Amino acid sequence: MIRFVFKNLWNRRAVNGWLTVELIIIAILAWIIIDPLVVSVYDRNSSPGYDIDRLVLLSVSATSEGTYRYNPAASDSVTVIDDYFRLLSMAAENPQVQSVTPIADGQSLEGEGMMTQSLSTETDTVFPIKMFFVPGTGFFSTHGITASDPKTDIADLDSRPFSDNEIVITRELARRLFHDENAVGRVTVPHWGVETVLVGVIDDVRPKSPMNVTTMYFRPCRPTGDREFDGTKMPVNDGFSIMLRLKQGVDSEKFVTDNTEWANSLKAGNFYVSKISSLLQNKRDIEEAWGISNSERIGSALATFFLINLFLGVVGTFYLQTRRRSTEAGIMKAFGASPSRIAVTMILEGLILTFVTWAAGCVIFMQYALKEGLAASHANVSYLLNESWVSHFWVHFSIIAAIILILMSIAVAVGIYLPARKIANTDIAYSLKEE
Amino acid sequence: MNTIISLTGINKLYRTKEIETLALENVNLSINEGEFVSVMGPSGCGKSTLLNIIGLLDRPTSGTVKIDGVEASAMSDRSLARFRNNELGFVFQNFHLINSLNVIDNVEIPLLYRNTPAKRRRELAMKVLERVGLAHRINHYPSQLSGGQCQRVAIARAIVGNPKIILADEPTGNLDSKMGAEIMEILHSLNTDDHRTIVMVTHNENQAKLTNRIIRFFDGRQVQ
Repeated sequence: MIRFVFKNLWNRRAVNGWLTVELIIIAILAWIIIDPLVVSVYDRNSSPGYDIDRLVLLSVSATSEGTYRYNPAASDSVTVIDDYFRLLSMAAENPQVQSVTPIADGQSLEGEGMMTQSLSTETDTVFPIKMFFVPGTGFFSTHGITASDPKTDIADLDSRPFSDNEIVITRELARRLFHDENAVGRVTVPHWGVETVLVGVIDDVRPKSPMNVTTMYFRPCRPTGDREFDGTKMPVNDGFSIMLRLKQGVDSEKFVTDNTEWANSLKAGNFYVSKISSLLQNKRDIEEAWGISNSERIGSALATFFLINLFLGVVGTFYLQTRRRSTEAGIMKAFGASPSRIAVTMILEGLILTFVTWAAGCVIFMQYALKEGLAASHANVSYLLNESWVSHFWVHFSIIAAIILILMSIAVAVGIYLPARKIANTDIAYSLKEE
Repeated sequence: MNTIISLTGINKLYRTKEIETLALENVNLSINEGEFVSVMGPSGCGKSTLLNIIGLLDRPTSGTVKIDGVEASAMSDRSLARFRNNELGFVFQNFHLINSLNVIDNVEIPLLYRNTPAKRRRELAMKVLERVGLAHRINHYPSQLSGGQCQRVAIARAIVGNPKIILADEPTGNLDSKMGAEIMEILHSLNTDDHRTIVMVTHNENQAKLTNRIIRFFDGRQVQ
């Protein structure tokens, strides 16, 4: 049957020539529209590497010196730290809150701040993103971060006192530094005379939703009421943040709406909560600020328009072409073809044509892609490692090509199946009279 | 002799929104195995409708069709297709060859639906093409052949699957007298040499006289 199908295709090349050109153009257009859209949707929907759904951030500010609410008696370093922990306890008392952890100012996931610092082994140097955490405050479990290797225990990391040179790294960073994930207990090359010891490997985390998985490490720091910052201490005088993990079943956005007043009532010394926001909202804000939501909206609209046109155009063309073959179907039927066999034969012809034109379209687009690259992730910054399929040219190319092939095949199959079924079930006598 | 085609009380009614046309009325007909029967009558008298019903290309409004002892009315589309493929061969007035296929591929069609292996298909097709004198034209397309040659291809296609019955609907209607005679010669040879049953619709009295029996129709009724 396949030989018969190929012969039929070849012998109908005059008619199929136009279809071939049309389908090649569609394949190329599909690349232009579908590739960036798929990458964008993938980026947005990839797991952030931690449990973002029930996280709420309280931004804590400090009353400025000189303003009438400023309390000079609460400005010494001991009182500042007391107030800092008092505010944490007050936040933890909310019945809907499961746990809390302090965050250095601007250092939260989905937050504004982001800094990198190199880590080296004898052979490799990587520039991962560095985040600070306060040891013993349940930082990892509050975020819903998970362990990547059997030697790492999240509960242990949460309670571990951590010395200043102990860090926790992500799996991707372990792979980059040591070429395997078994990094616990290893040390990095001394940096400014300090050798860093790796005490835990966690699953990859995306510091901001538009970014792909990147390399990260978490360095301990202790809160201080002094204004000095030496890399191991976190001055909190001017403010900090508190991350809340809500209890199971509590909706973070509803929690924010219902607890704005509660948040406003949280005050300790010169500290007060200036803002309450869910991490989901922060994620949306970042995507909006980076222009991702908008470009995705435009991309989706274009893709929808394109897909509708693809379906109408391809389905319509194949519908008309197939409809004209009713006499042929009548002949086939007269000589023993069942209706389903006729439909299958015609669909096979269409699918083979689709495959050939799709391959041609892909080869043509590949010339452009090899030169200009495929659609990139939003945060395709050179120093950020981008280890998803998006950055592997051939994997990326194959995935998008497969999606396009599936879409084209569906359109062609529908365009042929509807009339083929009809003509295959028409009375033979009527079909043969039509000529 | 065995009855190979049996029609009992066949009526065929065509309905449109405005009118009903009775194409066949109470047709009772038996054709024996190995017979060569002509069906004659004026245009529109129901000859082709009768042939379509015998060939299971159309279903009667009422009545029973038995081909080679098998009652056709209860068969599914798939069973009908298989039955046609094994038992019946068709020759049409306007040939009904598939223009996008060459001669040999057209002839192979019935075998294709029997899932005959490609090599065997080719052998059988070559054999029947030799018989109709077209072995040298296997790679030609229908558009490159004369009407007589097209009809010979159609006959080759009709007999390649070795059916017991050949139904020919005005097989010489589109041909000049010389080509018509050639086609008739082939049909007679299929009847006398291979003992195939042939039912032929024709307007040509001379051709009809050479067959075993003439059945005449008028206004959907069998009159002889």
